[in-house]
Amino acid sequence: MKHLFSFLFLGWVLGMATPTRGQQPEPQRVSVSLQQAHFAELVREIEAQVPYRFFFNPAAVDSVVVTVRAQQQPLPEVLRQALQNTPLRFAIDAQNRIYVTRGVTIQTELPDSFFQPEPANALASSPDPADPVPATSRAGSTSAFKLYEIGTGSATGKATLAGHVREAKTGEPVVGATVYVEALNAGTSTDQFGFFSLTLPVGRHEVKIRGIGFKNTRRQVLLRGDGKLDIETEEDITTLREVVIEAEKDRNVASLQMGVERLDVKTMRQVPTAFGETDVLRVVLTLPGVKSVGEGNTGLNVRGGATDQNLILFNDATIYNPSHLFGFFSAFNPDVIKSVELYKSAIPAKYGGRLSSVLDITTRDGNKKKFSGSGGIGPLTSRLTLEGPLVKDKSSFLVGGRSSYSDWILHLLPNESFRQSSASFYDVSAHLSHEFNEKNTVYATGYLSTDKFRLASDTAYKYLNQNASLKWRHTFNNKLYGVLTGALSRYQYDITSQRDASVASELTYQIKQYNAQADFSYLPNAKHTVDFGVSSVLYHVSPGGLTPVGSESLIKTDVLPREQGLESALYLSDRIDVSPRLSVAVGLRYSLYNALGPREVYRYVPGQSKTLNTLTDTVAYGPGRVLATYHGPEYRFSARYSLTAVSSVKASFNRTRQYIHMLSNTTAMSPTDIWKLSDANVRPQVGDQYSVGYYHNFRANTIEASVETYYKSTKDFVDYKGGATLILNRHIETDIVNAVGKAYGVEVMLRKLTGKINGWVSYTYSRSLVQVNQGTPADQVNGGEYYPSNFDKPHDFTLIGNYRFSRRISSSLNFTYSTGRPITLPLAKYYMGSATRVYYSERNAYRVPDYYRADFALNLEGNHKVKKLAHGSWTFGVYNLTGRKNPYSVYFKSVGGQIRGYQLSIFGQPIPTVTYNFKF
Amino acid sequence: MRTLWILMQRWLIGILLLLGVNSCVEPYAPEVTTAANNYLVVSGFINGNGSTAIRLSRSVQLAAPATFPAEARAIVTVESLRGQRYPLPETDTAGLYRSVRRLALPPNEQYRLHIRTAGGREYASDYTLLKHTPALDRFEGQIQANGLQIYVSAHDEQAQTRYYRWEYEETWAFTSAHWSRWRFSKGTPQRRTYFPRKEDIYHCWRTEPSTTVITTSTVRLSQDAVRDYRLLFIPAFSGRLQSLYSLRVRQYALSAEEFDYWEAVKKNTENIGTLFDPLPSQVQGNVHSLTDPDEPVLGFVGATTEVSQRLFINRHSLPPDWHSRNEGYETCTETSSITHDSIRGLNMYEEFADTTYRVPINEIRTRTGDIIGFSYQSTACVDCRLRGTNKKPSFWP
Repeated sequence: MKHLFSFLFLGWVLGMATPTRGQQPEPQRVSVSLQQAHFAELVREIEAQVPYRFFFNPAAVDSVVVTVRAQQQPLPEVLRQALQNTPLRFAIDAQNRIYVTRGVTIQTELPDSFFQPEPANALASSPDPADPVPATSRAGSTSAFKLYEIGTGSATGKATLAGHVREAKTGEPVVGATVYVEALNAGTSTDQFGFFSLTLPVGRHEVKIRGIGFKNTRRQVLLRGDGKLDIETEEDITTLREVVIEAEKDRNVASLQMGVERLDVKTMRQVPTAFGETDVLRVVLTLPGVKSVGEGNTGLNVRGGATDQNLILFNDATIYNPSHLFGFFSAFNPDVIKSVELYKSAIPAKYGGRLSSVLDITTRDGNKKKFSGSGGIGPLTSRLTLEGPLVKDKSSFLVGGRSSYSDWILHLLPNESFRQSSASFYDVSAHLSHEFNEKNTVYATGYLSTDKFRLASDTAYKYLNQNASLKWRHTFNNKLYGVLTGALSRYQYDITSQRDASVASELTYQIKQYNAQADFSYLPNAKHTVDFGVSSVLYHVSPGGLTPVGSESLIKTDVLPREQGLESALYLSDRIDVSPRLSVAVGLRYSLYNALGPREVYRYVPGQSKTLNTLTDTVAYGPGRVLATYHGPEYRFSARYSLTAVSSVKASFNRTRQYIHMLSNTTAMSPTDIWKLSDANVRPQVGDQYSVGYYHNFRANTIEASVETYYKSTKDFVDYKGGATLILNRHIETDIVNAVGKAYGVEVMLRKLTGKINGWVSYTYSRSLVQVNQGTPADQVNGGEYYPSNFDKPHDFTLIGNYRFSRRISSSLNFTYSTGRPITLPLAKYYMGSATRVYYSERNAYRVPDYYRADFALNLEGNHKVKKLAHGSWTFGVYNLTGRKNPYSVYFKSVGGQIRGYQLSIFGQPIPTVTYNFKF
Repeated sequence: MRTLWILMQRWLIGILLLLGVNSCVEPYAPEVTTAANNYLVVSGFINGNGSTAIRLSRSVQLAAPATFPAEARAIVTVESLRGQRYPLPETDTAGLYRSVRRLALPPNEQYRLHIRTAGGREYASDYTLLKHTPALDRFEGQIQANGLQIYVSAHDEQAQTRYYRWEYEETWAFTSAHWSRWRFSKGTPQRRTYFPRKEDIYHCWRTEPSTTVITTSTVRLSQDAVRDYRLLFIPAFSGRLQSLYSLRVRQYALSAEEFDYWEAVKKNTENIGTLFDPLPSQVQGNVHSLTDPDEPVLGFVGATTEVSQRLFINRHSLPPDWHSRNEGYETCTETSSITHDSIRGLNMYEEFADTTYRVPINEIRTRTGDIIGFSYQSTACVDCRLRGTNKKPSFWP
């Protein structure tokens, strides 16, 4: 086996070798006599006589024959003689190792000039004399062995090294890469712009860069003063070490952040889905602590929170309806997405406005070096993404589109009502980035998604998300940079009904949001990372309008007055590395909300249930007048204490406030849900979460284990009185009640990141309870006792497993189990109005059957030639492998006077899918 | 909104079918074995201008047979806020309480129902203002491509009504599959007598009440007018349209609370539990126990007047290509016959002994006119009284 080292590994060995120039002992003498002998015989002869060992690639020496005759001659002389007429070259190092290579001689020592500092330009691409791997290296600019001199000072003390990590091929920033100096146990990770800043003692360091999707690399740095080091990384094309969930190897234990999950798009592609489409939200749903009321629904319930308590950001613009087709698809094109981060606890002070979580979706930046594209063809949709440079290395664009073709299928159907129907959706994302200079970069993103349905030519339904964001990033100096963001979000729907001419009407709803925020990061020294900023959001809500359609319509125009609100916040947070073992992050966000006129505000008898009977007064407020103000601090705290190098304990507390509420009295998140702003009668929601976790890595950080527990309490979130009317209700406060919630749980997760088999297993036990207990019995639910929320599913088990057969064939198997969701069941029947009717149980007193599903997918990649026109891959999947009939919904119907229960399973059988993806 | 979601789900299921995904609906019967839940059920309304009838019964478990015990021997009274009392004595039907004569209650007054059960427990509904129901403007059927659409229209110029509820009762004439002209009387297996049948069990009438909650409101309309409300649709092939069909509609004005109550009942009973439907709720009526405030009482007692109208639709006024199916008799296509031949050992008297199994239809005679046998069919195919009544309703022309 000793001969099996290949060139490439040699290069690595050499990089580690200690220079021993001038200390070489007198070469030993050998006697060899061979005539047209195999090279291996030479090796045997020499190794038998002297304590030297040969290293070579057997394939390279396979057919080589040697002739040598020597008596007690120095070893190098013998070798020179033996190999003179062969293509083989040799080199001997100080450790008595003989390297035999074909064509090229290995340098066993570093050149004299190697430690002579070179002017600091990390991106210099001069051929590296120490690089033992000729020509085959694609990493011309990744000079892992060169010494870079940073800064000009010569003082002792500390200096800050900052810069960007980018992909060499596309110039895109690398997010979440770890940049660290192992010897000092100092490190940081790159932010969303690929930016890092690391304060180190002046002197020589080896800076390592590690992350997912590129080859790990390092830089030799001689730090003299503050300076810049940009690092280009080489894409890991073979995906040999691709892992399931992005994480730095020791991130689980060493990072301060807890309750955060980061997924990259490669991970998401591996998870099988019902229609073969890579689906961001569906993968997020496999993470511990994230649930939904049922399949075919993308409303996320994070740690017992409601679906409206998640801030979904698409390049910093808020998305109100993240789904297509009633929630069967998420409305994000996987080809433009770079990564998704979900904060379940310890939400950074930068984010606010929602109680439970932040789902931060970022797009890629587009290829800055060359024009390229990618796309896919699936059973229901197709997509295409194009990207390329506008100014090479400076600016790039990325445009992705996705569209359904179900309309075309519908029209082929024999059924007339289907033929008169239409259904379609599409989404488009566009992203531009431009680097004006080293210090200024601008990013612009646009997003549009639309769903349209027309049913049997009389009811048309449409919803639409429009978002735009503009970001300007300015680096003041190595220690301070700022990002100025402006964003616009709009969500609207309209329903047109024309079945009866006398009641033909159109119902519309719209919410608009304007954001402006400035965020700064200040890195004064190695112990502190300070973030601060200010933000403001202006909301415009048109809560509903009903207008007649056609001249015969008797519908009277009913447009609810527009609601307005302004939410502003200031924040400051500091991450303090108290000692190598203890890190603390403290933050404070102070938010202020003003409900603004013009508006008519109803006043009710204090202490009474709000009904039309208790309405006492109407107060009119003029335009821009403040009709209600709410404000309060939001504390953010987290701490990490390392117990050992591979284990740590973390704790966090955060308070969040939410001034916008989704009104929906259906179990699932549906596109007709409306968002309501806090006002004089609807208070903001406030939530506190305490979380503690233990983290342990096994087997050289390849297996991560974590246990997190949390307790959450929320107050003033919205619940409904029985049979509440939410649409076109001018006094919605009479139909809603303020509820108190508590949620707690334990999340256990075991992840294996590398190897042929990788994936994760998680188990969650959690409860989510609601209490509606206000003054009057009419406003109470279940007599004022705590009851399970709609998404209280105590047990949840998920297994995501991937097995790679070869570089081109890989497979995934998913398994998921959860307790059935709560349901209100009929208890008794009675006879009234000539029919048998039903008396229901208390709210959510029972549960639907447990949920269980297994999926399988097989990915076939095309060949891995780097240069070819297009790279294609096929994905074959089977969703719901066992064909379990999981209830999509359970309902009771009165059929001919009899009450019968039914269970509808939409995916009640194995569903095979095929998708073709390409990249050029 | 609900119908929209139903349509959308249907569409979705269609799409899934195209993709080879068969969604399936299966019965779901959870083991809800709860404690005894025989809550008092109060059904009926205080009729301001007619006879007030209140039915008291008890609820049963879902799994129990659909027989609802009557609450008998209770003392039921209509009370006005000013203290006027109108007793409703129990009728011959247990659990049904009715005013002896028609009550003409003074308008602009609030009324409630008071109940004292035989067990000594007391219940009362909330006081509610007597509403006046406006007249029906139009009540007629309209022929459409595949059936008959019945419309109802009403309005209130004072715009005081706003909330409407309807109940209807359908009556139609029908015939069984075969006209039986004979019947066998009792006797021995060797000899029993047969007579020409006098009672017509071929022509019958069937009456069915509406089972759904039909309400509408004009609150969002500029006028308090209901135009062409789709009350009922009768498919062209329906057995109801085989000769003469009659529909009686009863219209009630509702208070806002009662309207909300019926809406909630409607939401709860007709389609519940799909993800996009509103959550079912414990519907609270306006009847409360005075003895134990925590005891659930089911039902809503409103105070209003009743307006009713009857409509007849003759087969001759309908398109001739509408072929109504004789519902319930689809399988009764052919008859069999039995002849009596003692030499060959065929004994028709024995065969016709069980009158519920075979009913004679027509006689079989020899050339000389002697009756030697009968054609026959099962009772279900012959006796229309199993599906209706052969007593002509009083209102029938």
